[in-house]
Amino acid sequence: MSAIRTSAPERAFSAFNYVFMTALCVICLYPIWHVLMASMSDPTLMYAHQGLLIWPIWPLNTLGYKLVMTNRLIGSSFVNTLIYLGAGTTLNMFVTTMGAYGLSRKGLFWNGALMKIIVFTMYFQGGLIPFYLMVKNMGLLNTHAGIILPVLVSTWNLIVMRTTFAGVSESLEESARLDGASDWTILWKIFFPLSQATVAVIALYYAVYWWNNWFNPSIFLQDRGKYPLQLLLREILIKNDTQSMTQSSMVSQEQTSQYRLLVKYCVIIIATAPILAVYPFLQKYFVKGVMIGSVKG
Amino acid sequence: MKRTLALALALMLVLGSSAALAAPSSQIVGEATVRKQDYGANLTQLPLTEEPVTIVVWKGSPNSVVMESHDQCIAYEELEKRTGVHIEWVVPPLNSEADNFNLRVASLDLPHMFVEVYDRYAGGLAKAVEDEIYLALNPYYDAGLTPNYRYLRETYPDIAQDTVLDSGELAAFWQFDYVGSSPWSGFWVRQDWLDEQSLPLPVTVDDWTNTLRVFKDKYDATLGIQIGDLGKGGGDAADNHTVFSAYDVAYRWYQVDGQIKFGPVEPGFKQAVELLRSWYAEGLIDPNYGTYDWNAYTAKTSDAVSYGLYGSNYGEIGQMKRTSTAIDPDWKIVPINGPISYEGQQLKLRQTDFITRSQYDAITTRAKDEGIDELVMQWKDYWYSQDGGDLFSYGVEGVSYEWDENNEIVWLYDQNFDTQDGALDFWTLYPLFKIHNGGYLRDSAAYIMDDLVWDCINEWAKIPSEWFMPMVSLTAQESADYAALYTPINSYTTEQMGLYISGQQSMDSWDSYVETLWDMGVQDMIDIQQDALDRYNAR
Amino acid sequence: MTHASRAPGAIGAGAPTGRAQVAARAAMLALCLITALSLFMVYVSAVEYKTDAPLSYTGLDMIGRATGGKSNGAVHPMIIMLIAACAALAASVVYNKGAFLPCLASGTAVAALLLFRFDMYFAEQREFNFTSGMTTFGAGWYVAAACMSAALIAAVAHSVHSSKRAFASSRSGAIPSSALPEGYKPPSLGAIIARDFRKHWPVYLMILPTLAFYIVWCYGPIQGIVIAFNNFTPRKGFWGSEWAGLKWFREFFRSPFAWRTARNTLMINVLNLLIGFPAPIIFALMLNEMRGALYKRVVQTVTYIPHFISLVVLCGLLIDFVGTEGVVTTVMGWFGFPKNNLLANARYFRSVYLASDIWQHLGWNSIIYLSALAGISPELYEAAIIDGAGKTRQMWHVTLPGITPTITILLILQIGQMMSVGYEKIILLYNSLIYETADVISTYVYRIGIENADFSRSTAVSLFNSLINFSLVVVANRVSGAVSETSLW
Repeated sequence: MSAIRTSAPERAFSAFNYVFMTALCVICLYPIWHVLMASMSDPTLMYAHQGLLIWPIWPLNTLGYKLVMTNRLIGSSFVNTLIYLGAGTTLNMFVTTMGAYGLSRKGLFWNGALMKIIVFTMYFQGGLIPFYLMVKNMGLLNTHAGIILPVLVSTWNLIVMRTTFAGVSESLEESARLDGASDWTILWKIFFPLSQATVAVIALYYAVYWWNNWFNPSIFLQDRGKYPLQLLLREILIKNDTQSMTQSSMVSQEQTSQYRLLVKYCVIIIATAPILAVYPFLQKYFVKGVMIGSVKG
Repeated sequence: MKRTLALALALMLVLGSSAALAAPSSQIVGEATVRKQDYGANLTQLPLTEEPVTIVVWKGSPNSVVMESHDQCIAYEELEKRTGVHIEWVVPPLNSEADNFNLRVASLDLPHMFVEVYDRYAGGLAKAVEDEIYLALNPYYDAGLTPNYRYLRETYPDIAQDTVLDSGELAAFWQFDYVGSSPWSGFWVRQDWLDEQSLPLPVTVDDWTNTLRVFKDKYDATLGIQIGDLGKGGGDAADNHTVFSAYDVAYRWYQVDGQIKFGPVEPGFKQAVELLRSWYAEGLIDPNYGTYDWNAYTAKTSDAVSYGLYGSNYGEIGQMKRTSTAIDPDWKIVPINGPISYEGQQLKLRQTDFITRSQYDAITTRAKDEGIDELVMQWKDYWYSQDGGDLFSYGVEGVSYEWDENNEIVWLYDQNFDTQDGALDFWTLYPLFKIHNGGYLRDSAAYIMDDLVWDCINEWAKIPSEWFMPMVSLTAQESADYAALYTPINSYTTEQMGLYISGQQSMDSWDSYVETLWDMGVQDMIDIQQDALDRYNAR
Repeated sequence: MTHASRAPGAIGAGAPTGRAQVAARAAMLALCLITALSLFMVYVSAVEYKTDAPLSYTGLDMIGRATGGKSNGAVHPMIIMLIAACAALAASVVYNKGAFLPCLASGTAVAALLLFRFDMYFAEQREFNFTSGMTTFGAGWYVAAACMSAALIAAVAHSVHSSKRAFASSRSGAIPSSALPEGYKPPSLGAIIARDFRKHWPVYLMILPTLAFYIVWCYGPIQGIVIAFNNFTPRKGFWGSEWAGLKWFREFFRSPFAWRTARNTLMINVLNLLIGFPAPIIFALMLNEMRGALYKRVVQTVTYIPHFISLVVLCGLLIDFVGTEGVVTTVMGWFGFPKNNLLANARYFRSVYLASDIWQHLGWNSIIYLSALAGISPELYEAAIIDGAGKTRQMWHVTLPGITPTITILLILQIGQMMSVGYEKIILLYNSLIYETADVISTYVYRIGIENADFSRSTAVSLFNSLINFSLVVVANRVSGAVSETSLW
């Protein structure tokens, strides 16, 4: 499409497009930038600061990060999050992919009913109490499995994946079948690689869920050694709001409330930075093109 | 029962040997010295058990940088040594206490004991017993298994009156403060600013308005208030009756000579709202006040520089003083009481606590199901012996404190717990050796507090609290009915008040708003409370 | 219902053709339009746009009086239930040709609701006692419930029937029934199932883990719904607690919160559908038009960043930013806006909520469209260029149709969420000054359920909410299936 000569309105549109996107980037980035700069600023001056913040307020200060890092559980919670994220996402993808493949096959007697049964659960749930009892009765309270298994499949992701699989060209499947391929082979050798873009998106959705997950752990975990990072960070945020976080020899009594603010900013950065660092490496999958669409009747 | 002569005169009033204890309003403590007490008895045969027994206790997370788990508190370690009972902690994540409690109760995943439960059980204490979640003390009490608790109840009529339900059930182990520290919150004003502007201490409503105007003008400071907000935890107005007391109404419930009243439908309430409205319009109230949650509010507490008048908790004043003087060396505050609206008015409402605090620990029916109910009762009762109370109030003798020759306390925490050479203060370290809230016999003065705190308490205590609601109890049915009425009324009135104060709603509609409140069932609520109060007075 | 029923093999099965089909679709569309319009009108009449007027319950009163009710909150249940019934009616018409039973069901439901409204009106007057106001009140509900279950059963029966037919016809291929040998009997249901399983067992095996997940973690706990109908006490359990019938539903409809929370929920969603939903699509389209892979990637990465900020943090920041001295307020001040705290006035709440939502999810939500865009075959564009289509026409004729299925699926899901707004964000943002616009059904459920531990009541309210959402998604799906041939199931 680049071969075609561009007209004036197109150029105007293009220019507008660039300006708009740049503005959007600034808007998206600014709050994070604000927090990042604030987390490194001098706490006393920052405390009194109002309005925009473009550069850190000198002198630079890293004590906020040190304060957060002194928490003994930070390390273990990071490892826990990696466990939940790794094991959780892998299992999620495995089960979801198989389920989506099966449900996307046409001509299966039960598929229509199964799909209804599944969509039904998006709207009707038993609530927290029976859910908790289920975890408890299965002996999964306070275990890693108790965090992962109850969220093995996300219906939304399952539907998206199924839609994608349903859109894969039928001729590929048929020719594979003629070569004697089983469903298993067809799924993993044809559908899975063909749907790479969606697979990557869904995997990322799951991974982000695990990264941000704190609610179920807060209910099902007793042992603080099993806390994921987000649950711990949340506690730190609350703790620092209730004053005790900053009461350490590193901070003078006079500056506790200023440091509370600083710690808050540092926690935000710590909670956001790792996933941002990984993200650009995943992004290439989203550009690669494989049909994601829907069933055409 | 020995009397320690060195007790402050005010304390003597509280502990007066006459059978009838004075009204809570007379609990005034004039000084910071902690002295050895002999308030409770020591009637427990120790150890309680020779075989190892484990009791599961649910308690909120230790919100502290110096400790990760309750095991690290030496008081519990010592308790285990003395009683032979091991504690297994069940700890909900910070800020999820209510959800966790409700979930555990609903799924019957109970500990043996819930600590610091306030009114967490929906439907109240009576309902919790009726629903077979909490275990009533009565059989054990009657069988003499809780001698220390019984001693306290029999010796102090106030305690006896406050700890029993109207049905005669003893449903929980309440916290008793034998050194009344109330009131623990109230107002203060920047004295240095008053001096600078040669203003007198504000007394009347007009004084307040004037002072606020000057402060706003000269220092760009506003009045920091919190007026009850749903689900945000804590409310200044609900405790202190902010400016409502100036018009002789409480923020919610109060009683005048045994007659129940509900603040929001009283005429004075409108006047108070009008005053707040005019302050808001002039910018004398922090315009962001509506969006503060409890954390933001307490954070502002120490931000003393920008605040002219404020209500605050006693534990925070010391910290605030250090922070504020570091920023502004001239920082100086003086406690004041709420404004009065007419000549010769005697305020009758302020923040108040009773000897029996509104919180308790509850033994659950799990103890009974597992057949260790008697042991659990005896064990908990030990918390109410003098020794047990001392253990939780001061820690372990010789480790965290000791008594000097005058029976005054000498804190040793700085020698034994401060790992950072004097950098950590009492308020950071105390969770390592004593506990703060929970059901036990507590010396509520056993903290290291700034003199300023005592100045404040003494000033605030000058207001009698005779209109204050005593600790009435509702039956399970009443509780349900009351909740059905109160929940919508409370949120409706909170919301409407916000709209009136911020000027989003015209005052003309006030009468129809009050009428709506009556329509929503205020009278039924008053009747329920009145019955409960009558029963309480008849106890 | 299933795709199989529209599979090529099923052509002979008697699908309406030509004008009949067009007429059916037109009817469906009209019904949808009516439903949407009534939703909109309910909103418009409820909210007073006169910004000077005090925001209060007056909107409620207005409708109340207009429809004959007497006091606050008298009418909302009727309106809500009428909407639900309309939706159900639309669903049943749309459902299929021979949809006599569902039609009857929802028709009766409407009648029951009118009865219920009637009863309510007199109950308020406190003059009318039809045996006892409460009994009739309850009776209406039981009728409605019975109708709903009948409709559900009918739907299931229909689905089984149609898949059976589809299966049979796919076996017999395009052979017209007249061509079948004399005495041919269609296979029995049992035989069909057995054959299906023999043929497809590996696929069923692959579905098994997913199915097991749903059985254990979704259907296992689903019995908890029963507490919406009783006075749940833990010791007596889900089934042993004292039966309360529809008490909680009744109380909810009578409370002044029912209408307001429903209205706010709907309003936030309508705005979200109008602004929040197209935003990522437009963004994706614009991004797609950009050249320069690097710049594109930078824009993408940057716009995803806000998504990774956790909600607690986001709301903390937001409260700071829109305070009187906050960043947002300061910037708005440059453009002459007064420096107000945006979260202290009910009028601004929706804007703040929506803007922050778009800010946070714009980039992230565009992922799925971008991947769909990437899936459009370049040949299509080339063909369009050969045909002399400019950029605009390529957009209309190639790009948009290419991502329409994705948009449709997401739109269906979105419509299925029309009556729900997540509580977490609002709980973190709201305060008593802005309840008027900020309080939604889920925050109400949260308050009574989690904070007041009133489990039965909160389950009842959320069940009601789910019912509405479910009927909405069913209708949306059916309409979409009929109009665009893309559907959820």
